[in-house]
Amino acid sequence: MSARFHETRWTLVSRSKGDDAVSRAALGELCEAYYAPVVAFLRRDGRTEDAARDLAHDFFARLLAGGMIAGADPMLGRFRTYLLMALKRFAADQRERANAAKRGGGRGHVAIGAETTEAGTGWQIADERAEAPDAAFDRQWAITVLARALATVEAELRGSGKGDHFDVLKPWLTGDAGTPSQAEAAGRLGMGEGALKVAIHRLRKRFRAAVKAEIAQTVSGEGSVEEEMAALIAALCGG
Amino acid sequence: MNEPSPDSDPLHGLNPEALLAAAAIPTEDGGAGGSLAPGDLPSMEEIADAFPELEILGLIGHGGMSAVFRARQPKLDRLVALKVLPQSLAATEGFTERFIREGRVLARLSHPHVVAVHDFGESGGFCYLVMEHVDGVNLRQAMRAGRFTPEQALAVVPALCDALQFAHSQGVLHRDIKPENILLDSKGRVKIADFGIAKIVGEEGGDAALLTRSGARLGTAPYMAPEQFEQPASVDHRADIYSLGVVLYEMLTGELPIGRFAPPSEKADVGGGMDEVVFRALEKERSRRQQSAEEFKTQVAGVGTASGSCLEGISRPWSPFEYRSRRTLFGMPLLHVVMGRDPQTGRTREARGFFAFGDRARGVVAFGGIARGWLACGGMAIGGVAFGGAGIGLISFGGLAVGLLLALGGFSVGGLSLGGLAVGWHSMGGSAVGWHAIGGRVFAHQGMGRHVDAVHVAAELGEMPVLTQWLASIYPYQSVLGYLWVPLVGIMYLVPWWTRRRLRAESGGRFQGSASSKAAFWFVLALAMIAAVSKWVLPYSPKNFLPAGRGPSVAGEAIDEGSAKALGRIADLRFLRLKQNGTDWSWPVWNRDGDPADDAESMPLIEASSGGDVETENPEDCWLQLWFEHPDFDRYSQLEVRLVSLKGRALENRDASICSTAWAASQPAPRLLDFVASPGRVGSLPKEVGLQCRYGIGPWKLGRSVPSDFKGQMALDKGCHFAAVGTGSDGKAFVAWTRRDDDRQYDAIAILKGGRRLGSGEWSRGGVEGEGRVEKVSFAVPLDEIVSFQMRSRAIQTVHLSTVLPPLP
Repeated sequence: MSARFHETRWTLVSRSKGDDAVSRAALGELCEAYYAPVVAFLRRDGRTEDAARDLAHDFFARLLAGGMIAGADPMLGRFRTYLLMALKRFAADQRERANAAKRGGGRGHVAIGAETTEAGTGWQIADERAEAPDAAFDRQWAITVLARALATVEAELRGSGKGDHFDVLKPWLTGDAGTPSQAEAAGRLGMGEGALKVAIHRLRKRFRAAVKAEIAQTVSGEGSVEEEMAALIAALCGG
Repeated sequence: MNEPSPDSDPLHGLNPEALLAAAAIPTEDGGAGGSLAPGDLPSMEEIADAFPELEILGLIGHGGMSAVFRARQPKLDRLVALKVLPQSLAATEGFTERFIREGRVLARLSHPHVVAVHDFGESGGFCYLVMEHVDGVNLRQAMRAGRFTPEQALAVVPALCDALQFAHSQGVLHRDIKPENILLDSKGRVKIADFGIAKIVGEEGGDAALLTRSGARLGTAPYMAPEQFEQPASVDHRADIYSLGVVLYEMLTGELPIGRFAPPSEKADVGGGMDEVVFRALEKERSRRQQSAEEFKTQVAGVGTASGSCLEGISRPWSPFEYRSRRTLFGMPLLHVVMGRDPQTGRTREARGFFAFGDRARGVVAFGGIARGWLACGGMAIGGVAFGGAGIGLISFGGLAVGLLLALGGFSVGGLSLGGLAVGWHSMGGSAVGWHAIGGRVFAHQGMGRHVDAVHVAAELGEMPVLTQWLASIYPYQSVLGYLWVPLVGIMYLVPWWTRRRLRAESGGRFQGSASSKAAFWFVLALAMIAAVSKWVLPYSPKNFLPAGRGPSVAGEAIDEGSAKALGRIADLRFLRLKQNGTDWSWPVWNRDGDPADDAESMPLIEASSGGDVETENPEDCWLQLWFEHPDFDRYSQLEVRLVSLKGRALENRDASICSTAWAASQPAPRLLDFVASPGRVGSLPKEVGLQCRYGIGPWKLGRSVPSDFKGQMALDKGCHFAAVGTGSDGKAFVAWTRRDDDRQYDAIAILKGGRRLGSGEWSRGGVEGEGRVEKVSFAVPLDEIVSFQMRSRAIQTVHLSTVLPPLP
């Protein structure tokens, strides 16, 4: 991992500003990986699920076609912040265009109908706890990082024929609370409790390394991994 | 890697917050991916070689950036913990210098709750610290062994706060407070380890090689304050407070405060107040956190007491309880109320707050059995202003009052003291002892009262110093004290009552009505007592002590100091009579209204105060004898009267050269002075004459002192010069002076060998008024018995009167 540290996907992209084929491939991989946060942002920004997916597609298409979004400098910081900045510009741009296309100018139209009492339609009282689009993006990002790390670990274990280890032991990844008893788990895996403890320990260790590796792919500056980790913790805490 | 589908659960049902937290937490070996790699871990042999003066006993543990060995110092025969940093660090440029600089600071950090650094340095390519060996476990291990009860968790906090407060006061931040760094020894003592280590190691953050394995920083992320990530350079002591908040939350709930975390009161048996304290410590904005470890400690202590079993006692009216407000002032709770003994230790507790109430209370404003504070009120009150059974303070009131400035009480001792028995520089009371004292029974330098034992006895209040007069003037207002007691007693009862009620409310209990009726009862009782006291005290005034009429008893040297009974009043022409040359004075004597004064009171006075006779050659010359009275006439008072016309001109047809000066030295009733002058001759007597009177009265002002063997010139006053000392023909000592000043009367006191003072006897003078006179006083002892003469002077009053002449007999 350390050997590849300076050659993460994001450092490749940022160094070349997305001009060469290798870096464009790397950007493609990143975008593919972090599709979900982009959709989460657009959903929270007031679009329907379908519209959000559609726009996300357009966004990535433009990004990957080399039309880097002006004003977003990939040399600064992390992939996450870069992507968010680009996405915001893109979303604002899109809205402006959509509004300009309507005759009504900047005002939306609301139908005054009889069916407004149905859930999900009509006026809704603002939910103060609803996340801002940025927060939704960051939160989804953190979840994506975790999901990708989990997937990596799972794939590794399954690859080495220890798929059942993953299935049985994964509850211990989040600590000791609420997990089934270790004796039961040991029974299911057919190993002693001591061996189970070692296995849990290894799984945790592997997972941590995977999370860190995942994060490392999205940062360029040295010393950023733990900062990004902290930022993700903050994002998950709901700011 | 496939694109995660939003429909499936990519997290396998695991809580994302917990998952991320787990990714960030190190296990006990600190073994996150980036920790000290096993290859970097120095072997026991390497360490033993590098530290020949230590016996390396074993590896205690290794974390992100260091390994810790148990070792023995054979010379001192003590166990130590040896913390070794990787050789790669020591090899980093500039690190060693900085390590030594920081190490010095850490080595000076000596506190019972801080793991001591005995030594540090570089040896065998390792930077190392030799630290106190703590035989026990760290908080992480302790928590893992079994969840903490809230009581256990809260018991750890004060020690942590003390240690942090101490370190912060020394300018040292910990920067890495986490359960792994909090050690509990086998005796249950708490010690914080690795103070400042995070800084030493962390500043190498710029080095890429180091960063890749800086698992330590990564691992402690949940404990780090937001600003430690965002602006590491600006981190201050409040980052440690954030970390402390995380540790407390974890101790209480067993979880980390990540995500939308539950308030501690939901997860643990603590009161709602604890939520507020913890949330405050975890504020993102550090200015909204507790601003010092001390404050954190105070707040935790404040809410800690409101939890659990402590509340049960509140239901009983006089049972022990404790209340501590969460709000603080000057680092102490705004209000702290403690009643009864500590149910756990059985010891008396002390209330310590800005406002403190308790059996023992200490604060800026303290109420209690023993109260200490700037305003202290209680059985025993000590403070700036102290009210109490016994009050000691700058100003104190009470049964026994000792006050540096002012004491009021049954027995009062103070600069100014007022009371049943008053002892003070200025004192006033039933019995008063002091330099200046007024009272029923007085021992003083200058005293006044019914029975006075003093060098100087005053007959009137006006003769006492201003402060003593003030003391006498406030005497009737002592009852105000009673009114002061009303609110004080009210506060003393009502505040504990209110806090008890509040505690009950917080604990969900219902407030009992009987308590308020009790409060009302005590309040009314206090009012009644105050009313009774003021009824007795109000009519009591200093007049009750003062002598009626004249004649205070005198002890000591009889030197008339001059009185000031009625200095504003002019002398009163009491009696007069007229006679012709060659006849004797005869009765009746007339009073000013033209009536004969032949009553039993006046006649002996007149007899006693009549001076000598006067005779001139012209048989037609008439003589007018006048008696003047003034309360302040004393044995040194002199009276001169010039008879003039009503228009103030000189009288005609008389021998104007003849007039006299009266003085009262030999008169037993010195308040009456007589004077003889000629108003004219038979046949040409004016019907009415003007009287220009001059007399010296009032207190004396001390002037210069003249040695009895003085032979030179000396100005004694503005208009007065020393003339001579000597022995007269009768063998008596005299002192003489010249004066041009007619506004003042001069006198001298002889200071005898042995310190006794002697007043002057005969007085004589010569010369012309207004142009310089020679005055002489003589003393009843020879000159060689006198050490020096103390000069003194006082004002001469001038008044203008007129009177109709009485008929010739």
